[in-house]
Amino acid sequence: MSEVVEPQLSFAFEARVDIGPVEHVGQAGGAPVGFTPILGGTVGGPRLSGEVVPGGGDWTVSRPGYAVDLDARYLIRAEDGALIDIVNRGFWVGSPEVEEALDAGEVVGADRYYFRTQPVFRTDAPQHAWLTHTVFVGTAYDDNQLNQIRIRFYEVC
Amino acid sequence: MNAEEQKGVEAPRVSAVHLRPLMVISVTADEPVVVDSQRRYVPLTGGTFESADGLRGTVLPGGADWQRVRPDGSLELDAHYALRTDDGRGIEVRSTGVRRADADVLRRLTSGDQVDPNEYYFRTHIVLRTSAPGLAHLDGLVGISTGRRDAALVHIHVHEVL
Repeated sequence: MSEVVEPQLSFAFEARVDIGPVEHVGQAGGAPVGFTPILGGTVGGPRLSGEVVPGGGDWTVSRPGYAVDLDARYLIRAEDGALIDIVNRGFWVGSPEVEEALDAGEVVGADRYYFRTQPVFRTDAPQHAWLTHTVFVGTAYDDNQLNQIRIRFYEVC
Repeated sequence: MNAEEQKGVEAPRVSAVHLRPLMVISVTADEPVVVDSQRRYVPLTGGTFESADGLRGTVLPGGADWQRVRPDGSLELDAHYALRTDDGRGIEVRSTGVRRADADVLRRLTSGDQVDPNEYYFRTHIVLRTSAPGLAHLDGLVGISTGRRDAALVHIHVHEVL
């Protein structure tokens, strides 16, 4: 086995994204497509603080028996005023029972589903350029009590 | 809750995240084909893979790693290729990320020297897609990789993000 650097995860920041009700586009290209509007939110943590700019969204493709494809795109405005674009693609995997429980407004622990993302950032601001030099992963929690998705972003070192 | 209150606040209901080794892919490649001053692609000619649970097979020829050179010399990577297990099942691989190194390390890498992978940053997002029987656990997982470039081979160590 070749020698390689063992990757480490380092917590960078958390986004709490306020979402609106999902719009069902319906069957498109062979699978149900949905759109969840992003209404705003906040960002905090050791590496970044700021707010989520309203107007983004999460485009989802749900194929029965498979993972849900996620494709969220929005902007973060850092505390220093700089804008950071995020494309946060990933997967949500859980049983139909878990899906129903979430839709019914029950509290569902994050350990009952797999909700992981591969965020990519773009920004012009030199002080945040490190976000574009590094690979990140996200782990998310659906807080249906607050209509909020909480995503913790980790740098892959 | 404002951003200040969020700093350092633990979110216990978000699962702890960790990495688990998934597979190692060793890829052979031809010389990069230059498209323009920023863009080139590396034809991926073959190779082998082995997963942590004993799955083995080959890298199918015909894939490519599309690379964009940034002004600071770092590389955006976008590799797209396929694996085939020894028993004939196929897996699509998409590997997108970043490779960056100091100028001196870069020079040694491109001239084919053995370079300690700790001297450069080579990380990608990995997405595997397959509908082959018995491989459903590979479809719809979030992966990352660390890479090591030898003269003849690129070794991609894929980890599952749990």
